[in-house]
Amino acid sequence: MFSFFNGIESWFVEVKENFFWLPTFIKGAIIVSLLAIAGIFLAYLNMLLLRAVKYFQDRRNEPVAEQIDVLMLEHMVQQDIFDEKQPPALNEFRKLPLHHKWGRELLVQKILHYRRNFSGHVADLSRSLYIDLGLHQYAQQKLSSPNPKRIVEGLSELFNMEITVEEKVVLPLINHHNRYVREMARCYFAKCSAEHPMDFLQEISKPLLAWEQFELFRLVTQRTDIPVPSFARWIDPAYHPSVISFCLKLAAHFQQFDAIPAVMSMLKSENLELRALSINSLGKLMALEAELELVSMYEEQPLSCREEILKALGRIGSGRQLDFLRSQFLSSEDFEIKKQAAKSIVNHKALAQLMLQQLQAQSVGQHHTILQHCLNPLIKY
Amino acid sequence: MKRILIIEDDTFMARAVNLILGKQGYNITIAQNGKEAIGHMEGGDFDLIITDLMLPFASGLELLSRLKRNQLKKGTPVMILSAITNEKTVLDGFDLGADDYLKKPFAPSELVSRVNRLVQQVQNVY
Repeated sequence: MFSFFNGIESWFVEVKENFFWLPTFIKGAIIVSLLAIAGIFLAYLNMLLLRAVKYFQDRRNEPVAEQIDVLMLEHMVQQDIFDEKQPPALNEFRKLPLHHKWGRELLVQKILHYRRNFSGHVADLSRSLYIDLGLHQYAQQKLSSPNPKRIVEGLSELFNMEITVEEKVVLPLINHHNRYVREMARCYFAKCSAEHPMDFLQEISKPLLAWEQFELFRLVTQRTDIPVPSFARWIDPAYHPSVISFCLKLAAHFQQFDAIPAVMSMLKSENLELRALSINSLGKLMALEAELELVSMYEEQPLSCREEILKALGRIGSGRQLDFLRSQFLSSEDFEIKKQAAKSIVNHKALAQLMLQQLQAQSVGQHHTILQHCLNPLIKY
Repeated sequence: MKRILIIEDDTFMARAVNLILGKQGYNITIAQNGKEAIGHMEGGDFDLIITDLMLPFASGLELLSRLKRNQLKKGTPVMILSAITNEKTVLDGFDLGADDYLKKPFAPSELVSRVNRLVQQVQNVY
């Protein structure tokens, strides 16, 4: 072993003395090797340090975690089984090291774990314990942290414990530069805002992502304490396009017929996607009053909007535009247009029975195949 | 004293269920993973098995099918206690022979009444 280290030392001395005389590629190789060795050494050192810190943290936390478990089981779970409706024994919990940040974090983690796993009285008790111990104040303090991760932690805590904080504190976070903070703040609003869970939409200046829209939709449908808001308010070109598209979908989903004029105003939108979505929503809302406008704008529209118009006419199904649909089916050069027109004729059901019989009798080749396809109730698309 | 095997990898939840059912006079054995559970099942008879679905080494559904294949243990009722709430998993659980499915979050009193009913049913049959 001694001779091994001796060998390395003499190699280093030799390299040091002759370094400037060595060819450039050898110099480069030596520098890269030394950097790699130093990097590996630092990485291992970092891992060792992190593991040591984690080990000491776990050793410190273990007895407190045990104590918290016992307290929670005794004072909360047991109450539910024996139907004792008493507030949690605060004095017992105050004996925990809550003056230390790690002690509070540990307790909060346990309380959140309780909320996730137990319902009913235990969940209510864990919330009141959280509030009575003033832990929500620490969560609120996290909202003003410069570290986005801390803000998300604070928001997530308040979200899960359903604690309402002043709107002016959370509102600036919905347009935060960090996307995770933005998403959490928006979800927080939808779940915890007392009366106007969707009012934050008018403040949005950064896009609402697809999954965020889905999550917000889920949260809105879960709110049974307030009526579903009228989404027509935000179907306005003044708002962010992603907000308009979200509200168009929701207005159609909740069948908010009072939104029809607002949706119709979006037919003139320069944004192609929004225009197509507005047409789609009008169809889903079965907006009879939009039928003529849809037909009159048809010729100037690109393919995607034309398809949506045909689809919408099928959904509205008044029967007044059957001739228009037939002419599109017979005269259009585009396969998708033909198919959509045929599907919309079929969607008219009894109103289009005679027309369908005539078309079936007259059509040959591609027209016949499309009609057969659309008439098959087992084929959705 | 009736014996219950709890298969749960979350130590805290296992302890909570242990406390809840222990207070009702049941004798509780805890297994933290599939392998441990199989050992316990082979080693002794239980009046009820409560299992989570997401477990290390062998999932709750695997355990269930293994248990129901074993003729000796065929009569042991099994309750699934899981946070997985999708319809397919619930149906898979029942298809494999689970007698009850309690979704997390749950109320401790609900767990107690479901366990009492399952144990009572077995008592009435045998």
